[in-house]
Amino acid sequence: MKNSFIGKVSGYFLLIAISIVIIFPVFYTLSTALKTNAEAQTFPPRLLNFKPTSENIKYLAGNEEFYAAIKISFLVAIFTTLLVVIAATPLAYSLSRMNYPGKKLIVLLVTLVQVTPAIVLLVPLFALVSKFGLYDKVITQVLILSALILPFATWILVAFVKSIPFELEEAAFVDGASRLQVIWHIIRPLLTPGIMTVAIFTLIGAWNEFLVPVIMSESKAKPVTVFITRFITEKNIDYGLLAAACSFLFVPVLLFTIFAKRFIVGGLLAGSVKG
Amino acid sequence: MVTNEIRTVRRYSRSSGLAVLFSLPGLLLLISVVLAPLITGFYYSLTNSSLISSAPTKFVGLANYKSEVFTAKFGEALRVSLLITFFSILTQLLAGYVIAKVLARSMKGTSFFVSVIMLPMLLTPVAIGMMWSLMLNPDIGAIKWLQSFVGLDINFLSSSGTAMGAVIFLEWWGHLPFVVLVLMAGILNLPKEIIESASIDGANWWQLNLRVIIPMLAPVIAVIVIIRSVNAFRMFDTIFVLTSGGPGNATVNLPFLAYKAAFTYFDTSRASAISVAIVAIVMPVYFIFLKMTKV
Repeated sequence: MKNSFIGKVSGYFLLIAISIVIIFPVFYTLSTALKTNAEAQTFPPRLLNFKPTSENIKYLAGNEEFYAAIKISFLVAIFTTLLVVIAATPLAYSLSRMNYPGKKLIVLLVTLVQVTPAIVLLVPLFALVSKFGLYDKVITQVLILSALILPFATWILVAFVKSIPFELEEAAFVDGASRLQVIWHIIRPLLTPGIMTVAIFTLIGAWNEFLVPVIMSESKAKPVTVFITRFITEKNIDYGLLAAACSFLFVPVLLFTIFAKRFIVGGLLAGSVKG
Repeated sequence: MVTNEIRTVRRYSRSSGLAVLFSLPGLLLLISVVLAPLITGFYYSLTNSSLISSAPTKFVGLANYKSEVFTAKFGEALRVSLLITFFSILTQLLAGYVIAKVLARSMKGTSFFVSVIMLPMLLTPVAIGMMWSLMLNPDIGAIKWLQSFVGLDINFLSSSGTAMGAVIFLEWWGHLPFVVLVLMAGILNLPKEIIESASIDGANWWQLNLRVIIPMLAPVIAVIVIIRSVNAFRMFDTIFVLTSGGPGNATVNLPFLAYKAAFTYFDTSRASAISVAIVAIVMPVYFIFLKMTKV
């Protein structure tokens, strides 16, 4: 079976079939983005035989509100990534290598975030955020998203820390190195791939986030994911424009993935199988 | 054993001041974004607090639970959540297993197909949902066109059964990569000798898969089911843009029910009661997670 001709052919057939199911919506989005609204609404849809236009992309690029939304999306993604790395890295090290009061509470809270739907936290958070005047601010989204992504990031990094043999640290201690020296000179370089993995997942996750900003923003801190939902409430949806806006969300991730692929696969496995 | 214990003690004994410093940023985030709202939410659930009414906040006991949780509407949303979770994971495991087996053969081009199969989990769910709703448009959508080749013309979002099917399909589509990649790693890690000796002993394809490979994969499958059920249970973005819970309330799951109570009807206290009930429902999974974590 393994090497038989039929096995190979049916294997490729399956992989090609599933690839079509996966690529079709993405292809449909990118091609519709290059169509005028009239052409996007022809039936049957023209998949390849249409005249591409950059009209939608130009319109969005010149649209102030869309430009602001893109800026917010980038800001939230970048600052969330920074905060998650700053909070999760030392936390993961302390959880796997140190003993201290409060450790149990951290594990209980981290795990709770993992299993609870975020809406459970967002209902009371909305009231608190409004009360403290933090509504519709980038910082609010950054703080909330960081806490929501923290568990995933922490467990990935715990798996990475645990894969570093303790003997390495021990030897350095014996040679008289301090804990901070050990962390800086031994743990930090070995942990870099883990930190990269966490940063990549956080960047993509924050960029794609919808629930937190749809609740926590109104105008000043509205990212692209919330911006595009205006199209569902409009009676006459401009197909081309909507697809172009969605493409603005997809393309950075697609480009980014090309170089980040090995970290993404590795991170998934560290987070589920090893951890 | 003994050296291990000594090592553990040593590993943990140094500098607890540093430990506090290391855990502080994470702990502060968790307290302000998780613990504080949980306590506040529980308090709200026992009051009549609302975002639009200016009436003074009053303690109402379990009234919100009576009107929001022990109702047919809540039961229906729970059923929707469980159906999405069950059917998306079942179909992901079936399809994921077959795909992972093929990928694990490491044929030419496997790496390319892995890249393609990874895509859904990286692309913005809310944008994917919007594009699917265009494709499912009953007049001019691409799905209507594809159906015409097999002589069908179903308007998926118009009736409750097919709308659920569409929601489950999108959950399946979006998280298939995770299932495939983890299963593939599991299959590649299996001891080859056992599989080979079973096939030398004359096990056929079905026996090999059902009696040898799948039982050995059981721990991996268990991890997938646990992680995926937590995520499928909290599904939100796609429902928001694809069906908005419709037709009627056919695709309102628990998170969407809580969202609507809080941000469509602006009833914080009732939404909080729903939220507390959701936490109670996920408690068994919480304990499984706690058991699985070893730090």
